[in-house]
Amino acid sequence: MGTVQGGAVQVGVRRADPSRVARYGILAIPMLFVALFFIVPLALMVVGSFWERAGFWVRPAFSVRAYAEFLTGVRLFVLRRSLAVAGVATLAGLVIAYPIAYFLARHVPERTSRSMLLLFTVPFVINYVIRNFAWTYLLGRTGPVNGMLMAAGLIHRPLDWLLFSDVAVLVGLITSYMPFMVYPLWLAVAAVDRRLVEASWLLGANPRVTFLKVTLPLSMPGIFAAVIFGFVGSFGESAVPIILGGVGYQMMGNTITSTLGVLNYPLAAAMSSVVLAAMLLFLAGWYLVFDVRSFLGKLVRW
Amino acid sequence: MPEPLLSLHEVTKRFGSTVVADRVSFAVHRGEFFTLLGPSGSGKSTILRMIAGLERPDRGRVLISGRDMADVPPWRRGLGMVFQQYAVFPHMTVADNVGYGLRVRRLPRDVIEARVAELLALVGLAGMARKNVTVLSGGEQQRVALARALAIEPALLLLDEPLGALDEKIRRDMQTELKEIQRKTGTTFVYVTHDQEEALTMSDRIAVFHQGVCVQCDAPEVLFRRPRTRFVAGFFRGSNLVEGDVLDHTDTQLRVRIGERSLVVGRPPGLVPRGSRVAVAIRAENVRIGSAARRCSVQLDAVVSAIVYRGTTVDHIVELRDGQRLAATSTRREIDAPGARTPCGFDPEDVVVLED
Repeated sequence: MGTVQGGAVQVGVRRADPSRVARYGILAIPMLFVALFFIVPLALMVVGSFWERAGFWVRPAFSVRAYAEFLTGVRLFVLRRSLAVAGVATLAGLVIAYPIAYFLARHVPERTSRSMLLLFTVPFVINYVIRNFAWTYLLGRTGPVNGMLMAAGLIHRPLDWLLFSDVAVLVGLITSYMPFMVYPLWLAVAAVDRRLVEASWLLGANPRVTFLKVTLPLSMPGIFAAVIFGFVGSFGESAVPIILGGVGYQMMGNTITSTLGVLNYPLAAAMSSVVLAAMLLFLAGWYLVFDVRSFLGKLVRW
Repeated sequence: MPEPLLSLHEVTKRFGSTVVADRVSFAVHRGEFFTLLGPSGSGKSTILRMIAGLERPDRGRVLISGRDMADVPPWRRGLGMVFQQYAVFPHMTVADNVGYGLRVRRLPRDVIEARVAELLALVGLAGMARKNVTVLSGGEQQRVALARALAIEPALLLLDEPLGALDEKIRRDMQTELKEIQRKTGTTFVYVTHDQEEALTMSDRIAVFHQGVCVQCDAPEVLFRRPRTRFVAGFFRGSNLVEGDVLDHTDTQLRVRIGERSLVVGRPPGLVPRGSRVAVAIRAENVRIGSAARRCSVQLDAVVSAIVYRGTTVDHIVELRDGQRLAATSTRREIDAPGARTPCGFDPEDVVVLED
């Protein structure tokens, strides 16, 4: 197209292919949106983390004071606690979500499993604040959990550590993010070819060995996707620690919020930047270990 | 006769309301290349899966070396299986795939390595041990799957259309190679295919399946020359199916009229009353036309209606006086153009009266 036959002079200008223009045109809209509303604000945040406080506002500078304040103060403990709590919540979510996903992918007819997966979205119809406040009633001293345990004679006094504790925060985080972990796990297990399992059986590997040597390694990309969903969500959560952690329970999310509350913008930006960097490292690790495209390719083929 | 290695007794399997295997019985002997042949949906793959233990028969028994397999799970049957879509483990190298069954059996590492090398040489993949299986071609992946199945020295190797996903050329090469590997290793093969030519060239015996029923089980030559039913005769390309009238019968013979001639032919088992119509199969290469027909003991008047040139052979389609059509295959063109009158001849020993 566009070439002149018969040895005529080639025009030096490359004719714009209209379909190419259309393609980039369509792509430009979401790209612009992402750039304007995500990348630019994040970049501004990183820049702002190096600025200095000036009264109620900030002034441009290149100072690492905010980082020093973060990494030497009590807030470092908050970072460690956030990592630990998010890690435990993610692990627990994985332990709960994997069997669910495995069961739905392997032992339930496809139609049923699809509608059952839809049920995992039901909790999200309810506003998360209300959902988390429901736990304060359920786990409270006079709540039904303590009530049932006492009625069953297992305890004589209500358990105090059920609410406003690590336990309550973990319950809140697991119930908020575990359902999201089911989907990538289900996709990954369903994408493992059944014939590979059958081939393994015939080669003498019983179902347990087959699971460990075939199904589990082949569903690894899904496990990592689920870990990212669970961990990133839990780590940045601010409502759960406020509602279920009790007074003074700090995780990165609500610490950053409260820092903004006292108008220490550089410190809030520095903490956010550290969290962002940690998450980017995490994603980069995933990308290096698993070729994301091959995982997506598998899903598409499936 | 020694005890068969594998035997099925009245095996029946239903999926919902469809009967995919209907009282199937056959026996396979040690070292045999046994083929289950039939169109898709004839139940042959399900039968293979029941032998493997991947499906459970509703009724009937599967015996391996005389032992009932009803309560033996697939991982304790010691069988090998090769799937149509290769089913190699994508997260393992070629060597790890081939050595999988040996690692599961916890054999020493040096034993596994030696056996893997031996098998890779057998299937023509020597030097590929460290490669990732996903970069291999379809034919190479299937060789890996074959080596993996043979590594555990299975009592029986089950192959479910193993060449079905491969290109024509590679398929032909692999047919010869598979047969060669079977001969070298002395392994008993139970092979599923829908390709009649593949079945004929490779098998010692073939069981033909139609709608879950094993309609005939014989050596390739017997199946090809002496089909017992219309289905079997029609399944192997090149059979003419014509109708004849039964004039008379004895215990072993029938006198039938085809067109304007009557001839004495062998009699199938079952009731064949006088005056009934029977279906008769005559292979196209046994039908002669033109001058060659004059040497045949049965001759009929015919008109050539079409000539089909096939390269090595030429099919002449002729129409008999009663309107029935026959194909005559010869190595050269016998008649110049359609429309010519010609005698059409065959010998009674090439005529097979079918059971249905």
